[in-house]
Amino acid sequence: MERDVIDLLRNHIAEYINFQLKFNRSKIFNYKRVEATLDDLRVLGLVSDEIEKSGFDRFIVELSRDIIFFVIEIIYPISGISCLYEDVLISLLFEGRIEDFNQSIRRFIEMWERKPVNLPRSGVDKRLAQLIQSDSEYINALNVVMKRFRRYKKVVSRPPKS
Amino acid sequence: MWGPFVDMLSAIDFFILSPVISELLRGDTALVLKSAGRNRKTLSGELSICLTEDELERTWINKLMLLELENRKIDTKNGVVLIAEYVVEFADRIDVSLFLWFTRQLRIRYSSQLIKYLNEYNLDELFDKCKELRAIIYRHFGKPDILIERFKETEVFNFLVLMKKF
Repeated sequence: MERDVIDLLRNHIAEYINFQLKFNRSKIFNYKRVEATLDDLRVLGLVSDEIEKSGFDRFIVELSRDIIFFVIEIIYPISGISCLYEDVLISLLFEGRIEDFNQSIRRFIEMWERKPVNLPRSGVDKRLAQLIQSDSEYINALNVVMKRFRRYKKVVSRPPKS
Repeated sequence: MWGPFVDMLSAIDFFILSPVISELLRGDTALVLKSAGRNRKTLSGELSICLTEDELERTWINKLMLLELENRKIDTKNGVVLIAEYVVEFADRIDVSLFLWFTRQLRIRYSSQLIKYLNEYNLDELFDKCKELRAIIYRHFGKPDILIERFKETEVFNFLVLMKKF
């Protein structure tokens, strides 16, 4: 029974958000990365101990839309925290936080309108390449490949572009 | 920056597969390499790997694959088998793809999912996750297929043996 109620609520919430986005003539996208503050996350109902303890105040979150459901995912500077937004809202209802529920949706819709941002990655790819290229298993495998396919020897021995 | 590889994802996939590729190419390469046109060879295959609950978390595979099927949360307490499918193409550059499958319904390219989270704060952590997955894959390389081994514990298998069909 409870499962049915939750599914019903999920659908209604998604319908409402979709309606609001259409009403605002918001661009419909599959995903978008926007900047968010700790306050945004608090209002959305997303703040956990992990986020609080991280000490960060500015985040990049990815807002995405499945066929009906909305997903919020923190991707920077901490990562791996994601949730089905409808479920966050339903949990606020479970806790009787009606005004927080309303505020959360308003903030979510406002965030949906924000300018997209790119993930700051300067230099990280290069450092990852250095880490990979200093690994002995990787070097061994590459040597085996170069022995078998001599043409890659030239590419590998060429100094990397700065 | 990525040496002979077509892109960063190929280099990461090669890194994860490096012990497997080393072993495959050290053997009789004629057996493992297929010609895919002029100056183009491929090396492909798949192997079943089994990850414990802890390994699913440590590698983030539980998060990256969102291990749920039609609202059925996947039971991880006995370890979850995934099929690691790899394709290495040796052409002008080396193109490597490593996919992880749960049945034929869920599939991810681990590197592309993981890289989405890469930043200056978690570089080492993500690198360690790749190393962890590499160790898991290598642990199963050359061993009896874990999925077949699990199948052998079923009544269906006993029946098939009885009927001399397996």
